Amino acid sequence: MMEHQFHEQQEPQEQKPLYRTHSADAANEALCLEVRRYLPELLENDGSLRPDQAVALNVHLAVCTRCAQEFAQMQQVVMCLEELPVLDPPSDFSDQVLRRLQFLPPPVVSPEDTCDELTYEATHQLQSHPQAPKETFSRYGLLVAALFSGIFLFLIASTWGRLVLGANLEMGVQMLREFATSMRSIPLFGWLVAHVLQSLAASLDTLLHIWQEGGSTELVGGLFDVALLAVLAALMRYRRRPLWRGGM
Amino acid sequence: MGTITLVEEKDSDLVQRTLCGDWSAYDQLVKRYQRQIYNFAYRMMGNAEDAQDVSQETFLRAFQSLHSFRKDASFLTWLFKIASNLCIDLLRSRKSKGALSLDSELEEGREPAAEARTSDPESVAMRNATQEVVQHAINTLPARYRAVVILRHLQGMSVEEIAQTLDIPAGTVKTHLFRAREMLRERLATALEIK
Repeated sequence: MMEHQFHEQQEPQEQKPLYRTHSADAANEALCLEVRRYLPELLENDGSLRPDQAVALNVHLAVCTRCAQEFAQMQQVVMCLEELPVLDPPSDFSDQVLRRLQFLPPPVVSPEDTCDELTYEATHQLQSHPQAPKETFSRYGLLVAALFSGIFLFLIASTWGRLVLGANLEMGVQMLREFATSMRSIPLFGWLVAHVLQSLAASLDTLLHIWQEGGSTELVGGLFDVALLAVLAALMRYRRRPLWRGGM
Repeated sequence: MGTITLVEEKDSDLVQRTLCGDWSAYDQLVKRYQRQIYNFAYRMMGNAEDAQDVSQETFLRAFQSLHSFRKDASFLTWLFKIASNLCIDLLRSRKSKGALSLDSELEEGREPAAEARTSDPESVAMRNATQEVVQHAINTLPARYRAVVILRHLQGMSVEEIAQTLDIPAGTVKTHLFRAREMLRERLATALEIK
């Protein structure tokens, strides 16, 4: 009986810890919630937590399996992200960008971005990109060339021009020959000059011969073709200059 | 010549030379940052084709507004800002069109696998599968969450740098980061058997 009584007395005592555990659970729950609020900061590890806070969190993680599991999952997500490989862009990536840039209007240069002309020229001489070749034709050079070609074509094509040019050419050849003969009197140097001049006179003579025998049509046609090709080539080179600063 | 090229020119100098009409300077800038921008775009968009389009567009836009670049700022951060805006706009416009939702794209399995660098076929297959799952999980995030999480954990930027890049407060970056990681955890839990 005594024993039974003892047991009966013990029963509620054994219940007590159960009741206590329940209240401890509630307290733990609140603590866990509090801890979880700070887990992102612990994960970041960027100094936003005080050292004592970090220690307290780690102590909790050491005893609470649920929070520890949660934290481990968070770490694993970050690890998955960080393990994604670095990919290579296509090998011609920058070439493609540069190619597309040519069709864009030039960037606006603000007044404080003054470009030193010397630096500009220097960088342009250094640049080696195939899409931006060095400039070899200027617009003025092109105009002068076109003007001279026009005058020459007019002289050759018109009857008056042919007369004048033909007479002048004949006279010129004759003068060259006379000069060459006079040069022959000087030894060595004179002979050399005379030889060169006579070759020139001979070729001019051939030109005159074609002119007189074959008529001027072939000559005009040929010269016209050459002039046209020269103008086309110059225009193509001119178009490939950098787009900005392209105009003068 | 070889000794000259060893010295790396500063970004701000290259920007200045570009503004003065020097193509090769911009070529150098593109080559310097193409990998980072391409990888960011790839992880944002989830496929190589979009990644190339977006990253090229980033360099073109940067070129066009080069005059507005502050010389004391970081050129890379500036590029990330342009790239993230482009990606977010593109993702949102696609979502609003609804014709090609990303989820349906994923279900159809149109996502190309991320290429790994190692040659061991077994580990490549294993890694590719995991990487694909991770990329799919990223693809399900809202555009801005994606940007935050990629900049933080793939590009290694700090919260403050991300805040500057995306023009949002640092607190918002932290919230986005937390929510994005939570969403990823949910999506990766079953697939990767996270314990």
